[in-house]
Amino acid sequence: MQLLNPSLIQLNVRASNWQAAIRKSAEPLVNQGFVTANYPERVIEIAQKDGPYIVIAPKIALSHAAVEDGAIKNGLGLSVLVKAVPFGNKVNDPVKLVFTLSSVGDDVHLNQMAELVNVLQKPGLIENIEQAQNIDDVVKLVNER
Amino acid sequence: MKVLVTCRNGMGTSTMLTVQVRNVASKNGWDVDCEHASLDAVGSFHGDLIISLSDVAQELKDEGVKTPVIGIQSLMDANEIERKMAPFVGK
Repeated sequence: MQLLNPSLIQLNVRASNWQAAIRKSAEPLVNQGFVTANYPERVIEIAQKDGPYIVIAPKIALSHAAVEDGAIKNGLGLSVLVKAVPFGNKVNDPVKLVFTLSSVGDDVHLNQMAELVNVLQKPGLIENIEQAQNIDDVVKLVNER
Repeated sequence: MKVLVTCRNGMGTSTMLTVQVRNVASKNGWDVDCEHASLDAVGSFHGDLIISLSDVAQELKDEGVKTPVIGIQSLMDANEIERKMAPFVGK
């Protein structure tokens, strides 16, 4: 099963603040119909209201919201930022990798999330992704066992 | 032990955290029945432990939720989850 869709991966993304990071990271998903254009705006609104809950681990944000916020079909994208951006999360800032998740909640997707958790625990993976030169490298890093 | 893993919308974060909690439980041989849901489910949960990321956990504690709540800082840190869950296992 393919965890990351290569067409949803972006390298060298420039963002001056966390809101821009969320919007830019969502662009491929918006353009390819995985989420509505309003979806990243909802992620930002919810984070502004409830705090930076999307920063799930050091350097990693999981930008996501619910079906009613504009998730259309299951997909997972990854954007690697040129420069790490603070999200206001005391423990895990600054963020370098932004995963954008669109989940409509079926079992296949739950399995993918399980897979992502396991993949992200590979030693050195984050550093290797940060240094990847092209999208194929990122796909290989994530998919290889 | 009955555990509720919760996050704002019950999808991304709580799903991933549930995977971790199950991994930790199985590694340690803990008998843990773990479900995940949005914060809306907290009020009707009658189990032993609620687990969420730190910011949500603090909010639940501030609201005076009666079930013990533990907050996890890094979803990827299985050791942190194990350390924080251990005191509640077998009670």
